[in-house]
Amino acid sequence: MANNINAQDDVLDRTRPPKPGPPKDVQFPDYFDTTLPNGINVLVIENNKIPAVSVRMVFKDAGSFYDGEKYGLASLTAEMLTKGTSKRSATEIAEEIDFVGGSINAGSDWDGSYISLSVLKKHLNTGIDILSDVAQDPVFADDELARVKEQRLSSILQGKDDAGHLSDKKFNKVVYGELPYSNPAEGTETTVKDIRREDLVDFYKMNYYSGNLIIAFVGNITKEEALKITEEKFSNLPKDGINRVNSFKYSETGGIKNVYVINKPGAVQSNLRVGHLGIPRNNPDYIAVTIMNTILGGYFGSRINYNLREKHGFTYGARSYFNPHLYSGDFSVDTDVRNEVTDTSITLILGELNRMISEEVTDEELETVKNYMTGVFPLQLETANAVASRVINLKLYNLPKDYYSKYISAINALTKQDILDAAKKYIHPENITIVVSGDAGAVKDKLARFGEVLVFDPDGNQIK
Amino acid sequence: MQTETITNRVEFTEHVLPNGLKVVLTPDSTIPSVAINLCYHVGSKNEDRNKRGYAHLFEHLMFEGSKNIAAGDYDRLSLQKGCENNAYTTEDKTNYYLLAPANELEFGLWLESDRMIEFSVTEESLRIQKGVVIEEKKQVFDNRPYGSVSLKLAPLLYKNNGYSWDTIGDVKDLKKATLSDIREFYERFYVPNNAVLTIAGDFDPDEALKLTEKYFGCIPKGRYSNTELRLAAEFKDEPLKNEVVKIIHDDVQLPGIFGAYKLPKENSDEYFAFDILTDILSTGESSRLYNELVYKKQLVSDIGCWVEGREYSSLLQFYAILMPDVTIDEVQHEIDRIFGEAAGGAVTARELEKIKNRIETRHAYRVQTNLAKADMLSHYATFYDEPGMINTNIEKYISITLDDIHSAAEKYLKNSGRVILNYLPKPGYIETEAD
Repeated sequence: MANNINAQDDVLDRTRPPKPGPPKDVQFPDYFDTTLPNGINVLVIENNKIPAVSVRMVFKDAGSFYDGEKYGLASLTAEMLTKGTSKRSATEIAEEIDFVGGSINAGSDWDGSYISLSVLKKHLNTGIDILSDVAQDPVFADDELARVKEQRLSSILQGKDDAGHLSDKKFNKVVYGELPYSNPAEGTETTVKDIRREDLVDFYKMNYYSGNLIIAFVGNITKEEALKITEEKFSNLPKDGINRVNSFKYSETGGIKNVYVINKPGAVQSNLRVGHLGIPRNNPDYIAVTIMNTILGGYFGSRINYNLREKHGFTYGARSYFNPHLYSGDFSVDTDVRNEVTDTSITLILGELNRMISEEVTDEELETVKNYMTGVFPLQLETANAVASRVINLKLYNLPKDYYSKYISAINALTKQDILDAAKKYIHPENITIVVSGDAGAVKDKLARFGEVLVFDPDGNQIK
Repeated sequence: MQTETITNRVEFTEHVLPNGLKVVLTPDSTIPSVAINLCYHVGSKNEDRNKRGYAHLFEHLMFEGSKNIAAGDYDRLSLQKGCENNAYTTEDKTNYYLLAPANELEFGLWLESDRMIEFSVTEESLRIQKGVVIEEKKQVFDNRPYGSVSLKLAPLLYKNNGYSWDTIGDVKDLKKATLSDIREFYERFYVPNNAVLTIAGDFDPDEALKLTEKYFGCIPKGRYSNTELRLAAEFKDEPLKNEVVKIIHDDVQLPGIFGAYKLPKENSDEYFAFDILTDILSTGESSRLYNELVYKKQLVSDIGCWVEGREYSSLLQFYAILMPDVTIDEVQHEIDRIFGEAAGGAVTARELEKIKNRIETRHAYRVQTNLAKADMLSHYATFYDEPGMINTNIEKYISITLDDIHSAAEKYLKNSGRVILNYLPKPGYIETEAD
């Protein structure tokens, strides 16, 4: 039955875990950080493990948040950067960078717009030439825009097939209310069709300027090389954005206690979002909230995953997230469960939220999460690009420079009371929004006890 | 300058314990962490035809308790010790890993060795994990647009061997799995002489080897010889005689084409030629499929092809998601034209050079993390008894010529050797107008 153990094993006590060796210190790697007179923030994260360089251009606070009514504008603008300059056509850009085995990608999220280059050191000059060209001299040609828009419309259409995508859209819309984060960053069929070349040009002039630009050089490169490249190749952007206004409305909604069902007839699982508004990234309680959420639903060993997956076998996995943006954020529990247990799963989730705000976590839970966060911290510093992402986040979200050098000690200083305080302050079961993408016919009736049930089709139209 | 001193070589040592466990050690002190990777040479193709999905179900059960570790304690203890763990199952292997702080190497070896000694899964754990796996199948395959492709392709591509079902298996088979089925599987395959242990990261190699001997050395060999173990997976396959085209109605807005050609096994000469060819066809916006069908003709929103290397028979897979109002025939015709040109010798020297540059970049980035290195070393040690392929495979790619690509494509890219699925929207699925 067992793979029998021979006599040698008598001397080896396998019944308890062996003792650890002395812990090794983890230092956040040194990096170079300077701001040039034109406003460009140059970061150099040198690491000579592999003969390659990444260059990441980040335009701070220049993402979908500034779409206004033209949802999709930031992401279309970013996507169009690599689709032609005065010197190079879209095809030439693709051909040139592909030929040296490198890549250039541009995109945006809520809080920024990005262009990144990744290339072997020996091809760095080629890569930099193209990067500086697409960042500073995009032409936003009409025929290229027409192509990109058709692609986008197709992907919006495909999004209607995806339960998780539908849940996210509805959840954001309800939870963020008046805030721009409530809108779809990829755009809608109507807004994408209406976006014109002039809109992109205006967005570019407003948001792509050296005063909000971070350039991070990562990998096999020195600070001298990086500074020289920045001065020679990236000095063509204006220092300030044109007509830049922050149209952010600071009124946060109180949340509406309804159940929103997006009907997908025949679905074999319900995709759930259970949550409400969260916190912006620079909230001073962010670390306490992260640790609290990790215990609640943030990792495999969390209460919610244990309850839904390991105890009941209702799901492949369940997690909770505090998803932070620059100006606000959201909190949600996400999972996919089988149809028959949709309501039971919501009850279990709400039970865990209530437990979290009403009693202290155990000593073992807190110790485990502290050890886990400390133990996995080095893994977040393993590659130069992972380090760069963290340094860039400090800048994007206006966090203190010593944030990561104090990160582990800040975690270890937290008490059970701190965790309970964070839960009470930031989790509000009485104010919860529930979104279910699934087969309304199969799950709807049992959801009424959580609030008024409103049913929608994948286009967002309410079904009576 | 420093560029010249950067070597892409992964340095490692290889050992075999008397019980047959292969051990590969690759020290790297970039971060104070170690990756402990255990690869068992068993996957879904080793399953009986009426026990489909057991290898993967088994992967879940390996976290449910072993000789000295109670149910739930594998995860509880590993989190407490600051470790990250996970596992995956393919047709050919089941791979477990633990990422531990450097000072917990011994803990990691204790934890991993215990489940090679004896597993102790209860009926209750088995029942719950069956539920979890069935929900995994729904989430990953059934409830996802085009999610059933691999489930449908496998039985059309293969008939009389273990590649004729997907690793996730069959719900009927999974539901009837008993503890004795599971135990039999364990006793056959989860033995030291059917496994490779790779440790990558911040450790002293002599000490790591001693600890490995301490925890794994006394685990006896399995009762099946290596030949018997491999005979269990003896591979019989007939080439396809005729092209197979099936129509699948799914909850999708846009039609899609998903197809596969059967190819020689991973790391055969043809495998390298096809890996390069599929990059020429679909990697980067300058690739043939992207440039012609996404960019110039705008027939598809997404297209790709790649080689999936397997122990006995690889696949060249391809797919395309159509733009609205484009027909399957139109796109299939274009794909066939582009594949036909490639097979007919139209690939240029510049395209080959481009992809070799791409491969050089990929080769550099492969050594970035302990886990990635450990996974590759375990893979090459498991299937080829040659972990050094992590360093030498690049030479195989560099040696591929236009003639190699031409002759491989001519031989294998035949319509009679492929299976195609045409995904169409279910009647009535698209019922609403756009807002």
